[in-house]
Amino acid sequence: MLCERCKQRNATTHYTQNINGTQTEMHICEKCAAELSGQFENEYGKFFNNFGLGLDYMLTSLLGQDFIGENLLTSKEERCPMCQSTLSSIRKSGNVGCSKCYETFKEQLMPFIQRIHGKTSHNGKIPESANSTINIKNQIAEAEKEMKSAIEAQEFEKAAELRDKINSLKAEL
Amino acid sequence: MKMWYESDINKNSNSVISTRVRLARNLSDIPFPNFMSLEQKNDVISKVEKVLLKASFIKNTKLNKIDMQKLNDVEANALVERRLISPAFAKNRDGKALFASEDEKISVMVNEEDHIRIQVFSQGSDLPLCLKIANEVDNLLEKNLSYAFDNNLGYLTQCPTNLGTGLRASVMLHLPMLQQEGLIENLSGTISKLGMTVRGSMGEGSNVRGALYQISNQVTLGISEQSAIDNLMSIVNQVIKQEESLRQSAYKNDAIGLEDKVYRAYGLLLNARLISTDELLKLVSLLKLGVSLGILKIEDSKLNKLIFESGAYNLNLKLKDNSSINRDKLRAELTRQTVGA
Repeated sequence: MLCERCKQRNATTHYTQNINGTQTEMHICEKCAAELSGQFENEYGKFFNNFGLGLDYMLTSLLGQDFIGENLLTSKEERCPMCQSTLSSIRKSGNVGCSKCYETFKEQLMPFIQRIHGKTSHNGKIPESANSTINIKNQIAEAEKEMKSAIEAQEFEKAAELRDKINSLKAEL
Repeated sequence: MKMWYESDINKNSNSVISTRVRLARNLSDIPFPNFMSLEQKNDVISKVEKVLLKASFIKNTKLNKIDMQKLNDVEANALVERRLISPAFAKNRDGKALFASEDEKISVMVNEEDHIRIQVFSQGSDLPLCLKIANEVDNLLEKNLSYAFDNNLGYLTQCPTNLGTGLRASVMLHLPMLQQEGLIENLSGTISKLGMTVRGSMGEGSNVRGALYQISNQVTLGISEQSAIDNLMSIVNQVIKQEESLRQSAYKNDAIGLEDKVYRAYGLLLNARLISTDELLKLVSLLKLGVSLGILKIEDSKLNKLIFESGAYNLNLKLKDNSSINRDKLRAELTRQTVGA
């Protein structure tokens, strides 16, 4: 069998990739396998310097507020509004500064979260308080959909009722 | 008061030493511990304290507060040796507190890597029970505090490796034959592909003492708590099966040779007047192997107690004159009492 990647050499390796629950399998040659795993490690290493070295190692590297050096404080890099972390400080320590960081740097963090866990959406316990928030959010989304179709059908009275409902739901959040 | 590692009944194979479930939680609107001021840390401690000190959990268990900054190095490191806290938690103890039941089965570390780390231990591999108790503590804290939680990312944690459930479940195993046959590395490769990890419980790499290993889940996002512990249990059971079949065939191939090894270890433990931790763990490992093959009979919980309480810091707590020779002497005394009785 020829390597599915370079289509030149004989495939000797079974390569499985798991991205967000979707598994892709390839039969590839040794050279491509080395390239792919090297590529993975490079990207990985570029982001979290300390990752992949085991939790113990990370724990010992956690001590640091020291990385908020002056040069970073004066630099123009985007900062988390809550803890003032920057993407570089997160990269350096392998730890985020606060819960808000996950929002602030969502775009940059997501690919790496995906690499770590293979998935990006929580599938476990939900705190009761969040549960009710999720419920309300779902209800709002539902009502907004209904309102849109009511407007399209020119049922303005119904749309007005729905608008009030949405407003009162939003007040509960 | 008997500690959890003495009083629980181990219903499992004697290859399983203990089980731990840990949940990582953080409060919303406060930065994670690396970015907190001492004031914020103390504030989190008092918030948690208010909830925990008046609560009681399974079998009417109460938690007591241990103010980490009031401990000295010896006391703090003795807790590390008994597995109750992480080595990181024993360093820089300002702004940290531990809430623990008297038998140390249930505990909560405040301001470790995350604001709140709930831990439950059990002898044997009762993961479901550990998770159940941890959930009880978690539910109570959640009712009274506001957790950092995101619909997609789950419980938000300082290190992205804990996102999602924040659950780390680990089982400590005694694997002398797999170690002897050099199979741990193989095992480690296979296990890591399944989102789990195996590592030495005391010492790392080639110097894993007492053949004690820990298998734990790594992936926490996108997998439910139940599936995570189910997966872990099925791996653990397979590993035990392998270990035990190796033991049986080793015994079958060379019964007298193995009995000789076990009885020599027994003789040393019964008679030694000075013993180091290294030697103790090596000999206890042989003894446990002998017990599992029916060569001799000693209660497992006694040996586990010896493993947990014979570290240098724990002995230091009991000694006025803390020299290494005194520790070795006391360790040998405890060993004789344990093995001889």
